[in-house]
Amino acid sequence: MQEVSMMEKRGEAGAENISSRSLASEPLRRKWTLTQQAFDRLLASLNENRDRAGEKYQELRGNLIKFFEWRGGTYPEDHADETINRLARKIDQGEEIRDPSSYAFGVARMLLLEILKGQERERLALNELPLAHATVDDPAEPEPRLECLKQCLPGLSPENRELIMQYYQGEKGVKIENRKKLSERLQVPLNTLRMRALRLREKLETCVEDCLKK
Amino acid sequence: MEQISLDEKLVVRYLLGRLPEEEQLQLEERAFSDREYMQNVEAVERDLIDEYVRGELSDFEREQFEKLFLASPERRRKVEFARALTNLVSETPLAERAARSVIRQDAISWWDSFLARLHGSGLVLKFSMAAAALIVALGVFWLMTETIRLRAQLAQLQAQQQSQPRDAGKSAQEEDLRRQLGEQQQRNEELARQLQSEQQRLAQLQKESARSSPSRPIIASLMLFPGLSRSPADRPALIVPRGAEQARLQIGLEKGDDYQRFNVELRTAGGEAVRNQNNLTARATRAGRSVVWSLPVSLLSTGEYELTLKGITDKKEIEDIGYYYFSVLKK
Repeated sequence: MQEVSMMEKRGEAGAENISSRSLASEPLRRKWTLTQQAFDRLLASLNENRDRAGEKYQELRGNLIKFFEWRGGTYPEDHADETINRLARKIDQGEEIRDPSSYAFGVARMLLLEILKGQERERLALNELPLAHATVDDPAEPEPRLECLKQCLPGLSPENRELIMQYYQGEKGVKIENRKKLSERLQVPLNTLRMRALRLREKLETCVEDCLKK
Repeated sequence: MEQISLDEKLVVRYLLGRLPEEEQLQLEERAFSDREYMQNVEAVERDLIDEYVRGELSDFEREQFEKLFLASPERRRKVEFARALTNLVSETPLAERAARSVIRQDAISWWDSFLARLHGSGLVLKFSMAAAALIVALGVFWLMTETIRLRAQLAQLQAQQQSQPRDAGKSAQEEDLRRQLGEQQQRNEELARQLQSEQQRLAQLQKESARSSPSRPIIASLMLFPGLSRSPADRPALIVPRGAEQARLQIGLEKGDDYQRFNVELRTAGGEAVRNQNNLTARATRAGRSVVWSLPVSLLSTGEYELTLKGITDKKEIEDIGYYYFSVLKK
């Protein structure tokens, strides 16, 4: 059986973030820390099979990250990990939870309220600075990103390159028309085309981020 | 593949935080239980980011977007990527040409398409395509004349038979002609196969031609320098040639305009808003530091324009930098 540890599941960076960085706007009251035993119990509650439980854990964490991202959380990964911590604590304390995933989303919504309240407090404290605008600080200028994108693009096959360039071509109305024609030409449903373009875009996004780190 | 039902407007409202809590929960529940739906939401999210970057959102939408999307580093990275992708797509002639060909593909015949390609191809490709077309044309011509000739002979013979008594010699001649016609039909079929094969070859050549020699789109460009007079006589003019699709305005900056991001607003001389674009960045050009802005020519008409350049400070405050005046002349 494959051994699953907390570090493996969250990744080094994620674990480090939890311990070293305080959650945005959240009061510092985390006395309970996630132990290996609590994590094992959490996995067991997700599935009897350890490997399957690992997959379910990853899926849950990914969905929680998306949830916090979509709802405007400042550090979605940290918020997701904090949600899982709270879920694991409940399980570790012996509470019987029938559907851990649903329970986790209940916890996430509560945590989101805390975060939003904290953000509001910060905003007031910073004398009515617009929310989130004050935190915009991206060190990477778009030019290096564009250069990286140009380097990454040849990594796609010519067909995929053409697909992504055509899929994202044009402004609103033109773009929609382009996509319809493209789906007809490639003889694939529009939805399949959308998924293909998304996967290619994600691939390029990852490549560009890796390129920027170099 | 099953077509997913996706209400894109609903997803956009969700992503901008404009759905009631109950509907938000419903959408999230579906997204987290249905992987395909989740991916669709992500695709709509990317489109929304692109629209923000292209300045296609309304003021209200833009405000909501900035509040939610610029909150996390991960999402800011997505916005920056979208900006780079948008620049690349608008800068890449191949994409534009290909997109045009997609739109027009169903409206043009392979022959029209061939002629069009011939104009923009390299010498070797031109020769190959011309040779292929010549073979096809000669084949078709020969096939038609031979068939017409044999049919005419046969018809003549049949007419003679009807007016004269049947004899063995004529009958043998008719038999011979029928045999020739049969053979001709076989040759026709063979030629039809060759014709099809040549058409396929021609299509392949067109494809290669399209890959190797993309035709460049016409871009009308204008450099705007800071501190130019408002006087119409001194105004620089953007000459838009027929067939141009994009206008590229290079907005020169003065020393000290060290902002991280820039907003631009374009208005007609009458004050009518034409297009706004936020979060542009400056780049070093031969003429000094400039903000380069590309916009569709379709938004412009012949007349006078005023461009307002604004800088975004580190504290996210927006400051007016200057006004640039120019005229547009569409040909």
